[in-house]
Amino acid sequence: MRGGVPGNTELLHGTLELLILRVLRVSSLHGWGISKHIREVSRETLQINQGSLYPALYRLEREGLIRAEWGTSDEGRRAKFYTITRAGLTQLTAEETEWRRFALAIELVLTSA
Amino acid sequence: MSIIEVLAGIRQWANRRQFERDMDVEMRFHIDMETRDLAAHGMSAEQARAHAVRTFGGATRFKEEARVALPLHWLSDIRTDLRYALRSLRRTPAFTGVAVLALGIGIGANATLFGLADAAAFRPLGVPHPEQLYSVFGSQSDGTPLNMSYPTYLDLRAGVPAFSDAAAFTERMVSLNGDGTPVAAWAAHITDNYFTLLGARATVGRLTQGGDHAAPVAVLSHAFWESQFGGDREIVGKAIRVNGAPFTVIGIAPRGFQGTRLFTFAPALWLPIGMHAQTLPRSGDVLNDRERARFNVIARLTPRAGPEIAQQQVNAISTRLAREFPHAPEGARLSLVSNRTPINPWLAGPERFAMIGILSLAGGWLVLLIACADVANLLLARMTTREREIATRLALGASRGRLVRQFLAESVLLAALGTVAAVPFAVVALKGSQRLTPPLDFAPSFSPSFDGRSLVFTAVVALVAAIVFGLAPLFHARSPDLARMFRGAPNHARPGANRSRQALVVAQVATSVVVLAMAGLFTRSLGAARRIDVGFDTRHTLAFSVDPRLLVGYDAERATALYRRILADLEALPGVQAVARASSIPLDGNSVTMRLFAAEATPASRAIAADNFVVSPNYFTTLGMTIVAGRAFSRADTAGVERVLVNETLAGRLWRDSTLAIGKQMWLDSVGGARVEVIGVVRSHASRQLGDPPRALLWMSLERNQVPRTTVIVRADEQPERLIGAVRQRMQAIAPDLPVVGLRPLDQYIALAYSAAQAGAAGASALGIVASLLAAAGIFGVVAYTVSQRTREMGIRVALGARTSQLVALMLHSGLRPTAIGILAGLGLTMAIPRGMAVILYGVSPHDPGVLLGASALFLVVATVAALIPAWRGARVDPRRALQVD
Repeated sequence: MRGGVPGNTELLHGTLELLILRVLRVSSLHGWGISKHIREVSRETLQINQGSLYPALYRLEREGLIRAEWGTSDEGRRAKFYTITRAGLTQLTAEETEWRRFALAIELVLTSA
Repeated sequence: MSIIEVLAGIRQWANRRQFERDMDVEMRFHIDMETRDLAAHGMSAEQARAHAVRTFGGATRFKEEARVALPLHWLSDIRTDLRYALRSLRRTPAFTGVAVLALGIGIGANATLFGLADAAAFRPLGVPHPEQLYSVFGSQSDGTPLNMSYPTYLDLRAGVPAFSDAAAFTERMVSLNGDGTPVAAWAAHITDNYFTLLGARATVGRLTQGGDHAAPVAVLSHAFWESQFGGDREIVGKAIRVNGAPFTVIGIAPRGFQGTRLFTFAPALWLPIGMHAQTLPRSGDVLNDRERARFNVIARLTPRAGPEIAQQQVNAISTRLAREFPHAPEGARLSLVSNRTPINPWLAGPERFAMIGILSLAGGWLVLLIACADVANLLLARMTTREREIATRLALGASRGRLVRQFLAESVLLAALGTVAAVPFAVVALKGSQRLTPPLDFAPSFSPSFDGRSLVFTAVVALVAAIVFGLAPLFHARSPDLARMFRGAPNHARPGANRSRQALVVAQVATSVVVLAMAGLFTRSLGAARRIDVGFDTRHTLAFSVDPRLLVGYDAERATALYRRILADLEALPGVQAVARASSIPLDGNSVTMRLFAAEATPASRAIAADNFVVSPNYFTTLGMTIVAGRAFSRADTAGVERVLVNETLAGRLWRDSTLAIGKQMWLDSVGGARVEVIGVVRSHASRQLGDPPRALLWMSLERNQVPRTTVIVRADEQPERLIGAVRQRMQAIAPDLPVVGLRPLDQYIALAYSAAQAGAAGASALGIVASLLAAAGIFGVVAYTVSQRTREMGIRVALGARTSQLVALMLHSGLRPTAIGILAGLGLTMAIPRGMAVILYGVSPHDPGVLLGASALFLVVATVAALIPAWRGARVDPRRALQVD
């Protein structure tokens, strides 16, 4: 069921950037597209709050991990498209590794006696 | 944060307007896409749009949060705050005007006091490492400082390893013979290492250095260069004539350099000591004479040596010298005094000046506190009228912190405006303070000015003021009762705020009373100083000084003839009663000290130091001095043993009783030296500075002693000022090449002695007026506010038949109650003034009841007037208008 309050699954700080970078590794997208992609792929679990998404995008841009360009959307509208940079790709790999290690650690604790 | 991020962040901030527009586009795009998506999933178009907009959140809020992610956003926030503050202040011009005025006065008074205190006590000499500079003085048995002789200086320079170098100087008047009128100038005669020791650098040309010991060169002071030679760079390299001898100007000293001593004459030129034969008449063998102590010695310590080590080494030298030369005038004790700031040990040590400086600053802070209290009160009143605005902003989502920042911005802006108003106030006040100095022969070495240090100090003070009065009213900016707010009670009075305002007024009044009391004390002290019996009649008398040695071709005979002519011609002028001469007169700051020894064994046969005056026979009658025993000089005294007069203090020290002194004999300068006999005793009076205990005085006759430089005293029948022109004309006719120095009435001549008291009184009175005005403004504000709060009540009372006088009394009460409390508190505070203050007051106790009562009464009058105006206006309210509901 769509609609309702934006996702209340709280994302850990920094995880949002990880997700954005991952989405942008595949292709360049505008802000709404990123939000929609994450929502659909996570089966509606992760609904990104606009108040978090755009500041995160601006931060990533400032850090040089993504690049912003004005382009035209499929519908012919003018929109800002974000592309991952080479530095972003490096960062993405590093963060993915870190996240997996973190998730494994939690799993270990949860399944311990 | 890497450098790339910083640069990118700055770029983003610089392009922020474009950035905002981009954000708008992105936002709209996002909402449109979401709408479309929702509609595609089954919602109606309007529902989809509404939902999209709602889930997106407030546009403003989004932009705010996105903006917060923007680096340096707080910079644009501050700009917005300041713009808003400016608009808000412009809307209430009356409030802004009064606040800026109060702050301008408070901050300006502080800047002025700082300028004065800085020039007198805090500002270090403008040379490298001034903390390494120390002066060396001998001291007499009563503690007064003594200069050194040149050979002693050489011993110190060679024998104290802790000194990296030591220089000596002595100062004297010289005559500059340019073209036309001779000009008297104050010159310092220096050793060739003086400027290198200090580390001063020439503005033009060069300064004297090693090798210039006996070169006919001169360095001009910056001020003298500008006033006498118009700041013309061509003068460097040219020759000038000093006392008739040619000297080449080699350079100009740094701007503002006035030597190392405070409150003396500022040197106009520096001459090498080796040329003393030309520039210091009758100096003779001064460079080798251990008995002539006329040199100031300044030394620079090596970076590693501390003053204690240096003092020990100096003590070793002085002990050795005392053994080898028991009659050397410096006495057995030589002391080091820090010369980091310009000093004058004859007036006060650096510690005493520092204390006076700090006290003055404290006075300034008091005035500023009053000003801040005024502004805080005004802000408080304004706060209550802005309650609606505050409530609205809080409701719209502004954070409490944002509001605080906004109000602080207003305070800072007020403080900045107050500073701008304060600067011209301080500049004018400092210039005006220079007129408080008594008329002197030459410019004094004390020049308070509004410079960089004062500016920094002013800015700091303004900032502190902004925080103090800005934060105070915020204590009341808590969440107002919104409902009550909008129910239409705009003049809702909050008891908490009112109490704070009353407390502020009490504090202001108390402080004003204290400052007024101080002003009263200083003024009475000045009055007492003026009334002190100086022992001679200063009315109806003119004085000036001349030095015939400044004439080309001077010799003793020509000087004698010249003086005879001067005295005869001046006496012949209409309106002149008598003309006398003296080497100097008491209290003019020029007296010479010598040592005396009683010739016969007496109970007190030790040496005493006495101030020496060489006078013409009619000196005592011309000045109206009282001879209590014996007689004055007569014809018979030109032959036989030298005759002298002494004062009661000297007679008392050597022979216990004045009458016993007649006929006794003394040795001058050394045991077995010149013999003199006492023929008369003069009544004692203050000698060097008013308030000092009487000193031992000795008078010798000009008939027996040649003193080239003398002060001529002209006693007139009536107004001495009328004779000034005539005297000057006659002097010009008698000796056109001779500069006449300091021609003015005698009481101005000795004004030097109570100039400190005068300055203190003037300053304290100015502070008192300022403080009272500010406190009165505070009272005015409180009563006006109370009136505005109780307009409705007044209307009701009038409608019910109350009389105007009753209403006025009612309003007055609100202003006079805190005033009364404040006066009592202020009196209590003045009781706490330490008795130590009595040191700077003459003949007045710090707790003088007359002064305290006077100050309280004066302030009460001021306060009543200040409260009466708004009370009167408020009492005449039209009941119909007052009862209208806003």
